[in-house]
Amino acid sequence: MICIIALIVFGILGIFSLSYRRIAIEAFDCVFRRLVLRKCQSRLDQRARSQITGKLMKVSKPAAKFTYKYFHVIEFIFIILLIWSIVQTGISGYNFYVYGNCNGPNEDGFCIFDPTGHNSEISPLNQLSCSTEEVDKELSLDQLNTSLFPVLNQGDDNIVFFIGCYECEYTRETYPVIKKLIEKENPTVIFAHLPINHDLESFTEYGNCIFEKEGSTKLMEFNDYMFSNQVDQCTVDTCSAALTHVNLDLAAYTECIGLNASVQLAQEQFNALTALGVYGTPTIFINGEPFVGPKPYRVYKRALK
Amino acid sequence: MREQFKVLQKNIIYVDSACMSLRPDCVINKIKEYYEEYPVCAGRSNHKLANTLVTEVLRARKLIQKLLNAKSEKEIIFTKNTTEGLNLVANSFKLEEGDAVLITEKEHNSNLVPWLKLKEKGIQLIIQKLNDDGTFNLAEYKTTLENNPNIKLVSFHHASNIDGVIIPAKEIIQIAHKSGIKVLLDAAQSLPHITVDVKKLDVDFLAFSGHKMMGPSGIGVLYGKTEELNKLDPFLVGGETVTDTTHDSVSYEQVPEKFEAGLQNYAGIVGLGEAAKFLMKTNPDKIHKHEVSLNKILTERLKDRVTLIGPEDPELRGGIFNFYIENIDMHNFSSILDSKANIATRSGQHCVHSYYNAKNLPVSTRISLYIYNTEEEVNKIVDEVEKVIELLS
Ligand SMILES: Cc1ncc(COP(=O)(O)O)c(C=O)c1O
Repeated sequence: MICIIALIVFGILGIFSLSYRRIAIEAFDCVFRRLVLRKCQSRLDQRARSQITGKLMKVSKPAAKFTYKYFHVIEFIFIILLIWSIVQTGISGYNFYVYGNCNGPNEDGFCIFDPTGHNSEISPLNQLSCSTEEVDKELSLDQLNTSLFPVLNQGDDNIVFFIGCYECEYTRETYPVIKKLIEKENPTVIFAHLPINHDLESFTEYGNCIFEKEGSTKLMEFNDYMFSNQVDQCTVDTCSAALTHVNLDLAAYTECIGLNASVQLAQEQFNALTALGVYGTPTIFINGEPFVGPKPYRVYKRALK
Repeated sequence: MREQFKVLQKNIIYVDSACMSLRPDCVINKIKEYYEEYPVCAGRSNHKLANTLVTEVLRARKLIQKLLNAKSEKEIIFTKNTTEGLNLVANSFKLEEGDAVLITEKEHNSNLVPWLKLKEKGIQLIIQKLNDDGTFNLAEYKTTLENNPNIKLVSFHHASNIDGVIIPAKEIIQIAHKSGIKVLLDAAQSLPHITVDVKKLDVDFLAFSGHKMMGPSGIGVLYGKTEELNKLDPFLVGGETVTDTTHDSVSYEQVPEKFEAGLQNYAGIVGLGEAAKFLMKTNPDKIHKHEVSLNKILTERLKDRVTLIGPEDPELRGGIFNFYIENIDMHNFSSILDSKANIATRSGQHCVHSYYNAKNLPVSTRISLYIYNTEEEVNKIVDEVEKVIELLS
């Protein structure tokens, strides 16, 4: 049985080294041609058994005796562990492909395929709320009134609900991916600006006003500008730069954002998002399925209908 | 002397010399000398380096002649190993359909398979039975020769690799010669351990390997009396074996070149010469005595705990202590000795499958001693063997 383990382990190591390749070939023989063993040679599994026993003898005789006697049981346990770890690796690979994370949707454990954890990084909302409570990660769009938020692209019946903030590093990284998704797949994209920084709150209002007055196209242009330029405060200068860049009148919009209704809408949006359990940006729901952190394009695409 | 064998500094107890011996520095340096100072081909080229090599090859041939006490260095043919030497005779000795070759029941595959192959040509193979303890029975041998007048060649191992028993070669050869039968000795296991004097033995052919006598691997020798070699057809032919060729004819070289086809393993040849010198300096008879003294310790301390293959008397087994233990896998046994205590033994049927099969012997572990093993090592081996027996039983 240990030959099976050896075949897999040394088969992989054999890619890199000739000496391991030799053992892998022997293991192959051992697994598939057990009966044509040469008399002058012992089988790989027996060699492993005695070599392990010999090494253990130096440390503890009872342990060596136990290992030699129950080697088949130990082998069996290792085989089970091997199968289990192969299955786990398969699941991890699948998760990584589908969710961009080995551990399943929006988990943050270590992932060998993404060792730095980049695909799950977020700009945490706690920065704003000062909350240290454990966040509830069960995200669902069920309770949310999505009509509160501006539509970035009116496309087919796939609904992408994109929660991000202009200043945040990972939202900025994700934005071009979402744009690519719009260009190639044309889903309907709703944009929710979640300011993780008080200074950016008024940009939510700007976005809402632009959408209300000019529609999706202008909002998209505004977003393009905001995500490609690091704007971290809404001063007269930065706002006028943003608005003039997309050919809008600063005065008209300054008026719009001052309105009670506008402030109220932004607040309502913020409350709705935090009530949802969103704990950082970017968080993207595609047809109701949540993705937290910047994921590769294929992950978003797979979630479309 | 041990310091000549660098690998021993690795804290290893090496008792697998019947398979391959270790090489002293002087042999290794000689091989290096060839590659560094005259790494060319001998004979064909007309330059100083080639001349140096020709001299070195001749020197090696003469050293081996001296080691064997042969009449002439021309009786020394370089081969790859014992197996090639035995095959050369098997393929070149004039045997006709109905002729027979006699071997013992305890031959290494290298001195069995070439003869088995000749059966295809109608050449009979007769097997000489031995005593139960593996020793040679001269009376039975005489009877065999009397009963089989078609025997033309006797091909025996001189010393056995599985029990170390040395056959009474001189008497065997005398008896054979009385009936006009030629004798080939497989000296792979004798030449490294005892004095082998081909003149005294009056042997017709004798083969051995360099790597078992502290020489390089890939080089061996077939000794043959000049008149016997002249009667042999060449075996491998090609470059170096001829004096001239046309598109439809060939004139062969004299011996020994007639049998040395293609450019040779010159590094091996010069190294082998050096090994012969080292062996003569050490005196093979002293080596044998040393091995027997160590084997006595092994036998005394272990004989009641293991089953020995071969006679109980260590004097008869030279440096070989080959044993098994009922119900213990001896492959595992050897492997544990290696991983636990760095003791290098060999387990298996030691390429004498036919004897193991005939006698129904299980796989065994062989301890084979040589010049560099010590009493301290042998005592350590016994201690460790006892521990492993305890563990596995
Ligand atoms: C008695 C005997 N004959 C022949 C041989 C074959 O020698 P080689 O493999 O060097 O040709 C051996 C090797 O172990 C041997 O022990």
